[in-house]
Amino acid sequence: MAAFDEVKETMGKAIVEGDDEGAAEIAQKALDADIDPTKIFKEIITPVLTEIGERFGRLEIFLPEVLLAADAAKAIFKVLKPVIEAQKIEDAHLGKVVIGTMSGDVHEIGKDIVAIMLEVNGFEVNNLGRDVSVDTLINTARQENAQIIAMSSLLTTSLPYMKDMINMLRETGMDKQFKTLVGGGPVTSEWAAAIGADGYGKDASEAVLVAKKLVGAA
Amino acid sequence: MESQKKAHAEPRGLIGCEVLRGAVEPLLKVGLVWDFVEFLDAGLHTSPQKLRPAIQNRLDAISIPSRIFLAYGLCGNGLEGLKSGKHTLVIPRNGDCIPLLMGSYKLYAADLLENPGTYYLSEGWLNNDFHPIGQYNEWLESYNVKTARRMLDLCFKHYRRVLLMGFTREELERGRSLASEGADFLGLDYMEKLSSPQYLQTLLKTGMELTESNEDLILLPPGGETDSMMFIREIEDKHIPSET
Repeated sequence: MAAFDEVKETMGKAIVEGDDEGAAEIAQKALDADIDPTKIFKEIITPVLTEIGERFGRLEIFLPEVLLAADAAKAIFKVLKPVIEAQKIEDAHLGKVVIGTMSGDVHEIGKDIVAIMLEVNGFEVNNLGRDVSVDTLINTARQENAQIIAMSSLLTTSLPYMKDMINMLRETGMDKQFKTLVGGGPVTSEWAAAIGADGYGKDASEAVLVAKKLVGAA
Repeated sequence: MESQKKAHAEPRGLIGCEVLRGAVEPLLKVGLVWDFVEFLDAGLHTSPQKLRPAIQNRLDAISIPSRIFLAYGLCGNGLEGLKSGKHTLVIPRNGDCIPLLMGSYKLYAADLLENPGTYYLSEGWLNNDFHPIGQYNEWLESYNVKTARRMLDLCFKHYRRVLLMGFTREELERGRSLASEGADFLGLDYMEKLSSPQYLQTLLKTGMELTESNEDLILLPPGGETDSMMFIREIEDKHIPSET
């Protein structure tokens, strides 16, 4: 327990300070000490990132600091991912998610954190990156037999593509095949409801909860 | 003057972002008579939670029911939850001010699709220190060089170009040095666009005559409250699926 507590303290500090190299080193040391990587995500990274999000909301910190922290979390995930992958057992695989930031929008750090959190929580995730067209999302989801199409936007100009996606899924009957999950800065629960999205996540933690509900795992 | 007073019995005002002062002020001198014009601190857009109360406080302090043009966009949800109170508010239906500076929403939306990852600049942004080098210098006040540089890299990781917009060639000439230096600093391409002020001019004029919201403008009557969905537009070219 002492080893985990030490990791918790040092890793938490590294994330808050945006020390990606330090965070990755601590992650490797944690693995070397046989600390469960899923426990690291659930008991260290998730609460730290959640608190950072709350501090951002209170204007105690600003976007660049959030980006640094998220980058440190990504660095940790890079180290832990192979072990998490090896640990996954078939019935722990909750489903497949295809995720991307919509057309014309290159913001992706929040979406990347959602992708990581979904993966850590038992989903298989194909992160298509930024400036992703409706076509690419749909075609990838079909090819990979995904269960969820997750869409992110930070610009109001790219929001309508979420609506376009959902309308298209309905018109083609594919809404029975795929659940849709939306999120991002200008995205609200009201917008999600108005366009008929199956789920909305105001942050990464909520996105995971909603995704689990969408596949009947919660 | 008497006929102008009769034409607009309701006081006509504008509250806008300081970044837009240079673009808006010349246009206010043409045509309509404005009873009050005020520009709020440019830095408010970085903290939407501060922007909303700043605008709300100004609106609430105006005692005579007025028709007020808000020279803003949704601005990071900063204009969400704004109450018109006794006033009639006219607000551009945009996510931010860039469409006003570019010459129309359609031009902006098309540019974003064609050139995602564009850092849009104007003389107003530059004059208020909202540009890559200004941002970097601000971070250096709180962080070391390595961290400040990392912040810059993270913020602009997927950006490809800096685009300086201006309504006149003189504006572009004045902003060129700093804007292009910022592009070099970030390792991005640098481009310029001579935009038309006609769009903004039209919005200012029609906003004062509006009886209901239209494609470009939100009309918020007295007793109303904004929500972010008002600022979202339909896309022009609907998706045509490649496979069904």
